[in-house]
Amino acid sequence: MVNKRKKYNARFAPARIKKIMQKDEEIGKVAAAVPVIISRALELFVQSLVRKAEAVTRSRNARTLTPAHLKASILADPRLRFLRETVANIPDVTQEEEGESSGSTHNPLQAAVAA
Amino acid sequence: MEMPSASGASSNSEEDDLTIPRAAMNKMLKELLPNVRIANESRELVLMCCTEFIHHIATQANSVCNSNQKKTINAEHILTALDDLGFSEYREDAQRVFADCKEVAAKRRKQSTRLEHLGVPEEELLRQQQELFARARQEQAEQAQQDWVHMQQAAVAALPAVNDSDDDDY
Repeated sequence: MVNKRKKYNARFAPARIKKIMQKDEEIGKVAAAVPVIISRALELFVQSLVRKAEAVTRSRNARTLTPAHLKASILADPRLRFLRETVANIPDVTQEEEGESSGSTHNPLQAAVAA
Repeated sequence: MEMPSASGASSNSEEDDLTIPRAAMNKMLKELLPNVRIANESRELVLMCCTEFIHHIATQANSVCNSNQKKTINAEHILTALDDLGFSEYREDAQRVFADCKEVAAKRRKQSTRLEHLGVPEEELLRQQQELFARARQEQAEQAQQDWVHMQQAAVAALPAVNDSDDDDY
């Protein structure tokens, strides 16, 4: 039989997602399936965000994924405009911050950030 | 403090609590990027982005819901919202999850009607039910009989003893 605690096998607890949704006073009643579906969408969203940030990390030969890398990948994606305010106070990736090996000063991602 | 926004009104700690649980996020990050070091600030930032993403989808779904003149946000509204916001590639997965949800709900409904979990065979339940019906019928018959007797007595008592107190006639 289905395990009661994990009846939907969702990675992110639907109850929590519902609570976060309803923190917004505009949001009223929500069908039971809704937080479960959002949980899955959120999983895909994190996956894509983090993978893109990691590409930035790698392109800069850095060993640690920093908030600046996340910011760069957020700014590069027009669909993530809703996150711009969230990253407004995060410093941009800087030239000298990590050892760039082969002097690739024309990093396209950085150009995108600077623009 | 004059903070007009709704979020500013509640206490800070309460606000911070309302994110995706860190443990679940850390587990996922580890699975996604097993060989990459992720700064703690990055983890926090991802959590904040998650909260924003949830609000982003919910807000759009809510306006879809309103324009459909519905009161409850349903799965269709979410699917439409994902499309509207440029996340159509999540649709297929979302739809699969929705199908699972329906299945789980259907299974649960079936379970509660089948009375399986009681461990009492259906014939036995039926027999007990009939017994209860019979007892109820009998009680009602007795009650009716008694009422009738009382009425009779009251009628008899009312005729000769007009000046007696009417309730206790013994």
